[in-house]
Amino acid sequence: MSKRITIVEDEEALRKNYVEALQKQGYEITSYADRAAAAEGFSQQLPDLVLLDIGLNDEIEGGFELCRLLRQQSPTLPIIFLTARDSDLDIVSGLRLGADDYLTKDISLVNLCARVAAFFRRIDALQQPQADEQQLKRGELLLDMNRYSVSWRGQPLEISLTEFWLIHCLARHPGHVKSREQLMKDAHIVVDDSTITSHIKRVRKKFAEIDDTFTAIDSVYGMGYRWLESSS
Amino acid sequence: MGIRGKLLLTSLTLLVVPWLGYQYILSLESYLRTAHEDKLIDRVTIMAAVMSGQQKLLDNHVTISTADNTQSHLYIRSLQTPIQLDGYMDDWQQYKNRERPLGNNSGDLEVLQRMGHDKDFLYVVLRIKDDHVVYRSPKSLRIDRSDHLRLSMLDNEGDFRRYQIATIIPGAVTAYLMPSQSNNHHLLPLRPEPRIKGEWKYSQHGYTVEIQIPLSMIGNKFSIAVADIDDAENGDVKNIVASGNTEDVRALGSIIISDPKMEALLNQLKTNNSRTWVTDTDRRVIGMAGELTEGFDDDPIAQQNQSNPPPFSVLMKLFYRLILEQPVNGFNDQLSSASRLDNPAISTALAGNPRAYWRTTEHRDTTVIFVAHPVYIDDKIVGTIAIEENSNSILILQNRVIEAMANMSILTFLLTVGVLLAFATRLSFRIHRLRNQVDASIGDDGKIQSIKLHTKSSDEIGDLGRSFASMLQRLSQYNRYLETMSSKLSHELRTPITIVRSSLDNLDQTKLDPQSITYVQRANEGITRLNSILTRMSEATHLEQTILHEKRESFCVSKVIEACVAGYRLAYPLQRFDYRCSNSAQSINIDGSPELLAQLMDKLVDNATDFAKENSPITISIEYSEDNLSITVHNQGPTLPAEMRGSLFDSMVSVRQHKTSAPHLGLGLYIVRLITEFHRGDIEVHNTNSPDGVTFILALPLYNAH
Repeated sequence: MSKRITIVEDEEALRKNYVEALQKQGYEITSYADRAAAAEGFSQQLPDLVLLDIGLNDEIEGGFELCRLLRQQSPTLPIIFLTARDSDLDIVSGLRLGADDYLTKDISLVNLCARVAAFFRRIDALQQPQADEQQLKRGELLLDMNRYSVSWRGQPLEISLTEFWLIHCLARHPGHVKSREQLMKDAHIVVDDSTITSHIKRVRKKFAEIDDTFTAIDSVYGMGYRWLESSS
Repeated sequence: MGIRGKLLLTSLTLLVVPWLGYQYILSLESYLRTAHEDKLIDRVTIMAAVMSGQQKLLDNHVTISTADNTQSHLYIRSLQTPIQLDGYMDDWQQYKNRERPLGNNSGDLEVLQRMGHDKDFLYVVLRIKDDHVVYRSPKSLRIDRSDHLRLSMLDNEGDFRRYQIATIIPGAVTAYLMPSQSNNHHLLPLRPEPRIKGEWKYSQHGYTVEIQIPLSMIGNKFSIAVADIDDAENGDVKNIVASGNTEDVRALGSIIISDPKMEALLNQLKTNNSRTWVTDTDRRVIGMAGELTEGFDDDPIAQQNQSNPPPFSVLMKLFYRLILEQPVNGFNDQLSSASRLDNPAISTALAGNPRAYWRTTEHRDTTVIFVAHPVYIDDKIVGTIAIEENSNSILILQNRVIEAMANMSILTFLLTVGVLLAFATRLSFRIHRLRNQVDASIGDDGKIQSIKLHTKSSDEIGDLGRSFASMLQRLSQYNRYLETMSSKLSHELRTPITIVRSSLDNLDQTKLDPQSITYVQRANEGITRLNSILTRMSEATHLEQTILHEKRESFCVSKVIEACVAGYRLAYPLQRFDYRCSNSAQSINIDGSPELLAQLMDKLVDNATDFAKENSPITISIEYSEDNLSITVHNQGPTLPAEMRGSLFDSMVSVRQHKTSAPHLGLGLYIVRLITEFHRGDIEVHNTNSPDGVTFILALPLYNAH
C-alpha cells in the first residue's frame, strides 16, 4: 500500500508540479488550495505525511493553524512546512508548533523527494528492531542512520531531519572543519549563512538541554564548524 | 545679517513717528503764534481807537516831528520812592534796569545814567568812568577847564538855557547858567542857578553826580553831556559823552516827562503781564505802562523735578538744547528803559498797518511778541500804540510737548526695539533649534536617526517643523522600504522561481533529446544563480532578526580575528594576508557576538579581496587605545569615490564598476553596519594614498568588558 501524502499549497502551478513529482515516486497524493478545504479533508482521513505552505491565499498564517489542528489529531504525523517564508522567526514558530521539518521553496524537487523518502524510511525504521551497523558513535553521541535519531549520553534528542543531517555532517569526520556550504549541501537545503548559524545554535541548545557542558560543536570563525571528539 | 538685524533695521522706520510729531508741533506752534498775534492785534486795535479819543492827552506830548530818527529823546519815567540827593546809589538800586549809557562812549570816558521824576523834580544820576578826574581850580572863575557837566534845555517859555556844573571838591555842587550863545563855552558863567541841586561823589573808577532839577524849569527839550578834561591849563575837552547836542538849540534832544493821566489810561487798557507803549511818529516814546514779568510761572512739580533731575533727563535736556529752537543769547532787553522804539512793527504801524513782531530777550526761553497799531486823529497818523506781551508760554509749552513727545517716542522706540529684538531672538532661537534638530535627525551616515522636532506651536515655524517632521517621516519610510525591499523581493520572487524550478525538475529527462537536456541544464543553472541572489537578498533581513534575538557574551576579540585570518588564508589561497595585533590589544574582551563579528570580518575581507590589487597583501590589524578597540582592514587598490563614502554602508548601495561572477547587491557593507551597531561601535572608511587603497576602521567600545 502506497504512502499517502497531502499537499496544502495555494499556488496552483506549484501544487501541480509537487503532486506530479511525488506521484512519479509512487505516492498517493491529495492536494488542497486553502485552509478550509484542507481542514475538511483532514477531518475525514489523515494521510501519512503532510506538506504545508504557511501563507494560504489571504490567510497568512493558515499553514500554522492547520499544523496546530493536525497535531491535535495526531502527535506523530510527520508534518513538513514547505514555504517561501525563510525568516528565522517563521522557522522557529513552525518547529515549535510541532512540525518535523521546515523547508524553503527553493529546495529542488529531487531534494524534496529525497527528504520525503527519508521521512518514510525513518517511520519504517522506528517500527523495526535497531540495527547496530547503521549507527554512528562518536563519544557520547549516537546517530541512528535509519531512524534519523540522535542521542547524547543515551538520551534521545528531539530534532528535525535538517538538524539530523547537520549533526551527521559534522560528526562523520570529527575535527574536520565543515564550511556552511558543505553543511547546506549535506542537509539538502539552500539557505544563507545566518540561517545556518541559527540552525547550529538550535542544535547546540538541544544538546545543552541534556548536558549543559556541551561544547562538541565548535565555531571556527571565518570557515565554519567542526565536531570536537575530545569534548566532555 | 540675521533675522534680528533685519528686524532692527526695519524698526528704524519707527523713527518717522517722532519726526511726524515734531512736524505736528511746529505747525501747532505756528497756529498758536498766529492765534496769539490775532488776539493782540484785536486788543491793540481797540486801544488805538480809545487813544484816538484822547486827543488832548496826546496833544500834550506829541512833539513836532523832525523826521530825524537819530535825534535823541528822553522819556522820563516816574519814581515810586523818594530820592535822597546824596550822591549815593542806594536809593537808585531798584531802578537798576533803567540804567543806560548816556551816549556813545568817547575814548576812555564812559557815562551811565539813571533818570526819574517825582511830582516836582527830575532826578538824574550819572556814573562816570574817568581815569583822571580834574577838579575846578579854586583860583579860577572858569568852570570849563575841569571835568564838568553841561545841561541844556528849552524852558517852559521856549527859551534856550545852558548850565554847567563843575566842582572844586566832591560834595554839593552848584549849576551855573551859561551864556546861551552856542559853540562858545569858553565863557565865564553868568550866575549860579540855585534851583538845580547836585551831589558830586568820588567813586572807584571816576565820580558819580546826582542832580535834581525842578520840572518847572524844563520845557520839551533837554540834553545832558559830560565833558572830560585832563589838562587844567589849556582846558581842551578830551572826550565828551552826551545824550544830545547841548550847544545847538536846533539839535537839542527832546524830553517827555511821563504823564500820570496817560499812565493811568494805559494801565486801564492793558492786561497783566503786558506792557503798553505810545509813540509819536518819530517813534519817540510818549507814554508807557506796565512791566513784562521776567520769567513765567512754572508748575511746582516741574520745578521740583528740575531741582533733582535724573541723569537721563539731563542728557535729554542737552540733546534738546542741540535740536530745539532756543532763544538766541546776547539780545539785551533794555526796552523797559527805552525812550525810542525802533522795530519793524512800529515802522509798519506808522505806515498804517497793524503788525506783530516777535523778538527774543536775553532771558533764555523768553520770546516777546510786540504788536503795534497806528493811532489816528482826524485820519492822520499821529503815532502808534503798541502792546508787548511775554509769549514764552508758547515756546515753553511747545518745548515741553516736544520733550514729552520725544521722551515718549524714544521710550516707545526703545520698547518696540526691545520687544522686536526679543521676538527676533526667540524666532531665530526657534529656527536654530529646528535646524539643529533637523540636522541631528539625519546622522553622518545619512540615516534618519530619530525624528524629535518641536512641532507644538501653531505658527509658521511650528508648521515648518511639522512639515520637516512629516518629510523626515516619509523619508525614513522610504529608507525603510529600501532596506526591506530586498527581503520582500526575495520573498515574492521565490514562488515563481520555485514554479520554474519544479517544472524543470518534473521534466522527464530521459525522454528528452540531448539538445533539450542542454537547455534544461542551462535553465537550471540560471535558476540556481537566481536562487543564490535571492538568498543574499534576504540575508540582511535575516541578520536583522538574528540581531534582535542575539545574546551578548564576553569574548576575546583578537582570538576571533586570528581564527578568522587563519580561515581566510585557507579560503583564499592566492591572497596574502598580513595580520598584526598590538600587545595592548591582546586578550581584550568585549561584549557581543563572536559569530556576528566573524560574519562582519567575512564581509570586510570579501570586499577587500574583490578590490585588492594583484599580489598585494590585505592587512588586518587590531589596536587598543582609550577604551576603544579598533580593527583595521586595508587593501591596496582603487579608491572610493568621495560622494559615495557617506552612503557606502546603506542597503543596496554598491560602488562596484566591474562585473563579477558573484552577484553584488550592496548588502555586504549594510550587514557590516548592522553588526557594528549591534556592538555599539563605529565603522569608517578612508582612502589611502601611495599606494592607493581603502581602509576600513571598525572601532569597538569596551562597555562592560573585563
